[in-house]
Amino acid sequence: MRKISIFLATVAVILGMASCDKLKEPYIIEPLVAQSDTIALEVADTLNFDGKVVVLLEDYTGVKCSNCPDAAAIASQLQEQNEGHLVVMGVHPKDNLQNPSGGFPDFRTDDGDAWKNNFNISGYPKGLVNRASVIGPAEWSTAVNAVIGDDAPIRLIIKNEFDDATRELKLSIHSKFLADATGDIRLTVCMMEDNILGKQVTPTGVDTAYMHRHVFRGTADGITWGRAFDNSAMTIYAGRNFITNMKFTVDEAYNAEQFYIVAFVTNDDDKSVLMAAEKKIK
Amino acid sequence: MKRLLLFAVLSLCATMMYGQGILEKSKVTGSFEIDGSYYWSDSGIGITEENINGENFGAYGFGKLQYNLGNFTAGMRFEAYQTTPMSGFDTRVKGMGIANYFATYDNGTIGVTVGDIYDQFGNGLIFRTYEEWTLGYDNSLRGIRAVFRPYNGVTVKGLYGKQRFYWASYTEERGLVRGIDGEWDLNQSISSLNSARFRATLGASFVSKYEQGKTMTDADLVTYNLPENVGAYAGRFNIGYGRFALSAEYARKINDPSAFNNWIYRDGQEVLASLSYSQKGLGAVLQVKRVDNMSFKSMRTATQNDLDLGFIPPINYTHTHSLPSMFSYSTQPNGEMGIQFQVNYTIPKKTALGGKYGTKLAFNYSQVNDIKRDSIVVNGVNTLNEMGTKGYDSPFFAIGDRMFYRDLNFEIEKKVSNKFSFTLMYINLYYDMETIEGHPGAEPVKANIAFGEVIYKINRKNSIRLEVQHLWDNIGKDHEIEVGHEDNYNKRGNWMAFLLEYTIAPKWFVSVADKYNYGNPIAEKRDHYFTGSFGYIKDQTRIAISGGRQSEGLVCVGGVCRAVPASSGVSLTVTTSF
Repeated sequence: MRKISIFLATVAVILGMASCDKLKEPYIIEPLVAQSDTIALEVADTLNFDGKVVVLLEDYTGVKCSNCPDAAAIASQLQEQNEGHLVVMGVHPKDNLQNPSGGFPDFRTDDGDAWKNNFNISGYPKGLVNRASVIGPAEWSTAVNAVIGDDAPIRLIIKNEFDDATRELKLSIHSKFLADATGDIRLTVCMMEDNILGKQVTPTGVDTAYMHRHVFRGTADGITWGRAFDNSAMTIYAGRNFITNMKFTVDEAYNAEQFYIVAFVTNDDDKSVLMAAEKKIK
Repeated sequence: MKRLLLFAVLSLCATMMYGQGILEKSKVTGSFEIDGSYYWSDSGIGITEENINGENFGAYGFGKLQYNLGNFTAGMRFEAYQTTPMSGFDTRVKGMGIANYFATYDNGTIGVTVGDIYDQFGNGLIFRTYEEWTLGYDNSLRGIRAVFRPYNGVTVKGLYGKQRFYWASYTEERGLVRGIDGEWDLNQSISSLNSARFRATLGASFVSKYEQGKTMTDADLVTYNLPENVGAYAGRFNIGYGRFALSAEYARKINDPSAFNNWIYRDGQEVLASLSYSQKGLGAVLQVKRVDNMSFKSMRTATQNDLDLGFIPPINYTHTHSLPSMFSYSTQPNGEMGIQFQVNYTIPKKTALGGKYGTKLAFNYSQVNDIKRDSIVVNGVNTLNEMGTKGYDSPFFAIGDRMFYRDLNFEIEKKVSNKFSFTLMYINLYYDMETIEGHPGAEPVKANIAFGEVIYKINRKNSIRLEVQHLWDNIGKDHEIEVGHEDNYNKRGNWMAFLLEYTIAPKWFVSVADKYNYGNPIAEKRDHYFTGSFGYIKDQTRIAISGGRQSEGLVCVGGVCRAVPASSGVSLTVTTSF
């Protein structure tokens, strides 16, 4: 009897310790940009949307990866074939094949490294189509064709204003849910730079004037796995509209003419990508 | 799932009943009630066909059955609410089905209940589930409860489940609730105290709710960090010595930002204390209460009385007479401080003042004020009750300037002879309509009410009762009405009321009554609310029919109120139990 009483008392204490989330200040996270700074959609934006999904192809690559240029070519070709419906991201994690030593460009990012670790990517080149599963370049075409043409669950439109003088970039990402989405739904916003000239290891040696395409420069807001739309709801119902505003200065090291934004919506429960979009800033 | 459980419960019952002698030991009890109303338009009190919206007929009813065999009990309640806008119920209550079912096994040492649970920890400050038919209120917990009584006088209870939310499915998003309560009755446990004059009970409880969602983003894109687990704990004691009794309970809740408290992160606290004295012919009670941010619900976006886990006991006199009950107090979970003092004294019989049969006197004073709320500094700016902050500071013993309610009443009840008795009551009332009824801009009610009742027993079976009331409001016929706020004056101004009831014991009664708002500042609202009732009572069955006009009012039970609109119609109520 005494033992049972002690047991119950212990249970009570454990219950007490496990069941209280005492929060510390600050309790709120102010938005990066006020709602009043929203860059509104124009009629043309919505008319141009054809209701079909835009697929995300992540190409995990490296400047010292000899087979990676061929994979990059496959990705670019797939993008041309599926014009407007395939977004390609060249992600450089922090392994040996991405090490810039010896005059190679440094495209490594912490975000890319975190993604690589999460998906257990070892060996390059490897890819993810809508973050379904890790596959080699030979399977990219099949994987992309399997989802291309599907109805878009979200209408994702990026609006931006870029000030050449100050290099300040304002973004308004309009996400309208066209179908119910259940789970931890998030928006990831990425900085990208295209057509960067630099060294690359190829099957025949080192190419000193290689054109690096679709280089991922890191998440725009530093949130690796995206920011939640509405964490108080288990399901975001069709019809709901979200506007995510951001503002930052584009690094001097990046070529503004080739700089663009990629945004994609994920279900963080299984990491799957629901919809993607890209937009050049100039 | 629920059909499976019901089937299992019923099968278990049936199987058990086939056993030898089972039927003799089984006990089945139950009760039924049905209320049906037919409403019609009444231009005199401003009820148009548009108000009724084609829904003239409203009905609601329930049937409860309980089966008991030794240590096993099972029960269910079927209910149907086919209400109309005239009924004054929340529209979400509409529906029908098995609203409640449970099965319990309790052998005195261990008890387990599965199904829909009604229970209370202490005074219910952090956990009370109950149902109140007249309010359309039911916040039962569907889950499991275990009760353990390891020693005499020691009870430990644990429970886990999800609350009922009208007819919404239990798979829908709502908080999960877990709680534990312990109580120790020293007089039962300690043999030397078994028959002592000194009595003591100690208790403690802990309740936590889990609701998914670590953040929430509002329309202005501000993100709020939210606690998924919100815990509340309480401690209590009851001490008695001879004719004195003292009891107190203290409850505290950690940060619980919600729609009800404007998303502030301040801890909640509540104290309830009572001191009483009782002897033959004399009783006195003094109660105090302080509530600070203690709305505790199992869903953070819930409002009104939805999904309440905690219960705030009212410490006010509950008026049952028709005029004072129009201004009943409803508790304010965001903050209130109250006091109540009551004395009951019976002047002994066969004395000069007491008369042949004695005279009962009762005095009651209660007052409720807001708590004091001081602004706090957030990011260098003085703020008060702003979302996403701690809200305010509130010194524990400081009383807020705003008075919500005050009631001073005095009652005399006297039996003059075998045939004749009377009751007289005077009430002075202050009622902050703006806060209590949520009517912005409404002026407070400052009223004096007189009540008189006379009962005359014609013979052993027949008696007649007459009730006369008058209310003097501080707002008179010539009062200037604020344009756009005419609805705030629906029950303002002077009233007079009477009720005449004739009873043929034990079965029949008939009554007529009228309430007349002759002093309403808006001439069109100076209406008579005339009603007639007729009823039949036999054993446990009661049938009553009433018809006429009903004024706008409140139905309040335990400080929780439901607003009832003015209506015209006829209704039938049948209740029975077995």
